[in-house]
Amino acid sequence: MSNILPLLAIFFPLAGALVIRFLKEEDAAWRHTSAFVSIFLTFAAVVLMLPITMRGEVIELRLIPLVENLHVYFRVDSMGMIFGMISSTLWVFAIVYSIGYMSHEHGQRNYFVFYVLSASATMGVAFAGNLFTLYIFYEYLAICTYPLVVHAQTREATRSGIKYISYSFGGGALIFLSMFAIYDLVGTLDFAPAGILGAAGPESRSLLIIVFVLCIAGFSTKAAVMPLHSWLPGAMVAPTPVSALLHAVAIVKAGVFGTTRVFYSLYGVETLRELNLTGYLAVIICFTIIAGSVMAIKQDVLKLRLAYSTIGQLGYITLGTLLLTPTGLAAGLLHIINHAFLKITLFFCAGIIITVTGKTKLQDLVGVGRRLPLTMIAFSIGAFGLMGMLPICGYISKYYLLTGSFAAGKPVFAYVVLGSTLLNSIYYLPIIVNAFFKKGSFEEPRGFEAPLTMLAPTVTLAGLAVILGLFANYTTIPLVEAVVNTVFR
Amino acid sequence: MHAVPEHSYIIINNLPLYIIILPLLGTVLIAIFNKRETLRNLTAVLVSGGTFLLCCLLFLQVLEGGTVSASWPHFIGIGLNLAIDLFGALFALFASCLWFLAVLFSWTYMSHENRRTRYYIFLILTLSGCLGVFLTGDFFSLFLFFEMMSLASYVLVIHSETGETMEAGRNYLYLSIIGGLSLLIGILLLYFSTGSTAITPQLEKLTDAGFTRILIVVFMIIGFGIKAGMVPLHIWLPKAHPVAPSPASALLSGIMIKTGAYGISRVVNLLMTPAGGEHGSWHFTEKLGLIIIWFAVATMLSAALMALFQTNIKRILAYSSISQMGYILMGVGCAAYLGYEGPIGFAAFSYHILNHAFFKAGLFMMVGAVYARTHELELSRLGGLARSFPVTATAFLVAAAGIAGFPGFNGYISKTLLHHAIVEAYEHHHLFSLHLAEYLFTITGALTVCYIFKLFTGIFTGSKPAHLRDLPREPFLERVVFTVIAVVIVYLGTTPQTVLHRVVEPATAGFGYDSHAAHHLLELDFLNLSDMLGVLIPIALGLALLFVMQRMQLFHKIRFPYWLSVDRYVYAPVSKHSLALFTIIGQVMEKNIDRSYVALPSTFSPVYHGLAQLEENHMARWGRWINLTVVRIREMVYHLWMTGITTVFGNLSRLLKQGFRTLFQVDYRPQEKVFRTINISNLDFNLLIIVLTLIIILGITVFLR
Repeated sequence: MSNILPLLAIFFPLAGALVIRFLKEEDAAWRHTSAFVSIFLTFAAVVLMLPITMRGEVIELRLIPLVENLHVYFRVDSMGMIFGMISSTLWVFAIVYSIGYMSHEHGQRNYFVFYVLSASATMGVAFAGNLFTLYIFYEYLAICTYPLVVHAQTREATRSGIKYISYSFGGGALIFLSMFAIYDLVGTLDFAPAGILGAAGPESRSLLIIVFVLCIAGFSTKAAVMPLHSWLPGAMVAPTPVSALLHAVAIVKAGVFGTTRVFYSLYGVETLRELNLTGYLAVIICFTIIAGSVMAIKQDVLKLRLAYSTIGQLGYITLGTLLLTPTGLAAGLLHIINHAFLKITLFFCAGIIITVTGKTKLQDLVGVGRRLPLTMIAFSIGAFGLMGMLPICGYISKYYLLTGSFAAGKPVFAYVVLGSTLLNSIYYLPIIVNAFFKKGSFEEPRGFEAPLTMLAPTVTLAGLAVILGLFANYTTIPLVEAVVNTVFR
Repeated sequence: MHAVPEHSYIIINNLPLYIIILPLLGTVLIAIFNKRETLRNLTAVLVSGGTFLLCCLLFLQVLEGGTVSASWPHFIGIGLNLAIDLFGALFALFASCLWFLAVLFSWTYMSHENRRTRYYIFLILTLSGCLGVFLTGDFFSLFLFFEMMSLASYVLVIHSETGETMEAGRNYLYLSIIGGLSLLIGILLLYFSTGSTAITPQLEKLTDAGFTRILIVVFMIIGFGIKAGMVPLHIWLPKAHPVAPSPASALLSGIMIKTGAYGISRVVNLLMTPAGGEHGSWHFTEKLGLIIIWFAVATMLSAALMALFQTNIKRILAYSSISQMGYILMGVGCAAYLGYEGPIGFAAFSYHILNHAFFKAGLFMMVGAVYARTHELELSRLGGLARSFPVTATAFLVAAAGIAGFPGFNGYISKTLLHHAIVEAYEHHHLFSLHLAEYLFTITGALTVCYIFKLFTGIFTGSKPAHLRDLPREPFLERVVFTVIAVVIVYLGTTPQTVLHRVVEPATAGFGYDSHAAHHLLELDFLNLSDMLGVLIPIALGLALLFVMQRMQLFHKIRFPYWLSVDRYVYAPVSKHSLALFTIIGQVMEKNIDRSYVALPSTFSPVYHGLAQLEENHMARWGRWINLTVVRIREMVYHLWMTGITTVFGNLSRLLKQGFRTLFQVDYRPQEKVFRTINISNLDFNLLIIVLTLIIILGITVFLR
């Protein structure tokens, strides 16, 4: 029974999307119900798998044999579980939020079909057991999200959509290429906790390097590593729930998750240490962190500032994982979780601001704390969390990253992280200061400050971020430790 | 990250935790009593008063001997350690005492300001953070409270929300964050070099660390130095302190910058000393001390000069705070420089911290009281107010006498101690530079006297300007607060032996000093002629300077040179250009990568366009011709090919036929000579051929051998 759960997690959103497609455009109630139910069932399936992976067991499911040693293959291990768990949890919140946000927009049916469909693709990415399956769902994700990016159907949206899809497929092509090389080298593409490319032997060193470059370039496109980042700010034309979930959680995290898979499940720590390549990547990542944060300072549109902040924050994750130490991996994985919670909160707040006040520029948001007190408090929680303030969950991953880089004998990374923390505060604090400590033209709200379907998920997520920070020892850290224990046995 | 300072007794109880939690609970209560003025103010007073009482209890516990400690190693995954020695308890005591007085003063002062609830919430929150700094046992926990204090006090700084305030607040916020990050780097480096961040002597563990040891010191001193207003890291202070509401300024200047001094002293006088008493590695501490002394001298002299030329009364006090921090840091430096014999320096700076807390917080509150009635901060628009505010004026005079170091007031004791410390430091190695430092110390003393009496005479004496008639009287509460402060100042100035014996000397036990040298402190009597002269000379010089400057009206003529502003010429351009650099790189990258990645197809578009043009315009006309030509060429080639084949094979067959016919003709003419010779039946000829063939074959084989 348990081994079809990953399949169910992928199937439920598919079925939900199908149902929504054949409902009428006016039939909002059923559309919302089926969207919520399908996503919630997905979440339930993932939650049911959680105890199994926490026991250290792995759910395996080989479906369609293609060639020798190559199947469409699902394998729920602890690393995939983190990504699956975080995505499905946040999807539940995001679908509720979408209901509120989209109520005045056009093309709702279309929107919900693809919004639900991308959940299925994300689950596929999370539970893929080999590079081939991962690749399929990775491209599937790009395709499903394209209609969401161009949802506004303006000229700008179309242009961003083209940019998005060409970057995505460009990255996908690189992964596709590397897939052949890996299969040729070791005869399999299956992920293993200690990596599979260690078997390739030293004579194929140059090929291993080429494959590494291809793979990392491919996944980095989605992970918005500079210089391959420019699709991410462009894709901010999408409706805010899409930006929130897909561009802060699912898509970019799929890229980072793919990078982590390449590091730990394909190459393995030993092989990567021998290859000695991570140093070059680290330079690029450090540059990404600093430059992304600096460019965030220059943005005067709230969503764009958040987008550039994402670029910097994703750098932390990759920086943690490429340390190749237990603490480093833990830092990366923890930041996948923490950044997801905090950034989605920030985007939800941005969405509320857009819906309620219609303002997108930062200079128009002076004194908005008066009109949207709860929202701006949630925003402050998210922003302070990303800056690493106690006791909001972001500090844990930052702390792990700092100690990890010192313990690995690379204090330079810690300087970069702390430097970017300063930059984080430079681009987040003025928003908070302007919202609360300056007088603007905003009035106090009558009744609820925003539609409840939007306000409730936002505030709940902000609360969860604090809870995850306070009780990290019982929530996120055991999840991450399970991964670290399998990788560094 | 945990450790408890090594000490004779360790009392484990949760009292320090209550000291930190009580204000936190207080903030919640204040927030609940949002609209009810009296209840809210009363809560704030009670909470700060309760905290003060708890601090008294803690102080008494520590005074009996030993260290109070409590630790929660699992607190949010990092751990929290509280450990209080006498030094920390002393800080907590006077901090909570002044906080209580400031909250009392706020009751009347804040009554004409807006956003009072927010003010009280953050005032009490800052108290919690500030006390936390003094009560922690390791640097990591200290850092947490340090940051909490910085962020909470930001709201106090920007209270009035005007443009100037927000600007000052921004400076304050970012520099606090930079300081915090720098401190964090130092702490992490420390942790990974020694395995512990405990506030205990750890120099021995760091002897192998080499350059890292210097990095640790530099980062931590930058972190604390920003808070302490050490030149050249002081730039936020003269902006932020004057714009806050006066009680908050009093606490910022009186207490919060002391957290910086406290931190530096913990680093220089405790962390960077060897644990085992007399030890070879003291020389590192010694070098460190010398550097600190010079930074301190620069701080006190330059800030005193700046204070002299200010006209805004609160800004004079802000610069004065920086200058007084210079005094304190000089004591810290002397204590480190003297190494094992450092108690004189230690006594000097801890006494001065205590004194400065009272007189500076007092001065800020008194100036605030004046401002609350007159709404004037410009010195030139004030005057003759002694009659209107008699108690304030008297208390101000007492505090001014304290800061100037008149005998009988508290500043006299600490300045004498500082003078002793710097002289002793000079006698340690007879460095000429320290002799110079002593002179600069005296000059700074003169400048201090000059600016503080300029302030007093400017506000309280002279003729009263016309717009300052009909001022309300000072409230009873303010009189109480100011009287308390004045009494404390006089008390600290008249009973130095008690304080030294009961508090300062026992506090040295937590540091690795020679107990004889510490005991030697008690033999100072402060009432001899040379000590008096050490203080009276700067007083005389200062008063003379004041007289001369006022008589010649130099205060109006001389403006302070702007080229000294490190903010304007160093920090601002550096931050601006480095940010611009990254932005430009990022934007250039973004544009170009986009162009090459997405718009790559468009570079091929000329080719496509050319082909399309060709097809539309020219192919119709030329197409037929091209087609015909191609067909013609093809036919021509085919023709040539076929003709060629026919010719070649036709000729070939003809040639063969001809040869055959010739041979045939040769064969059938038997009578001819040729036929007879070349005939199969001619044996001779056959033999000849065989012999020739053999010869050839043999010849070849022989040749090939």
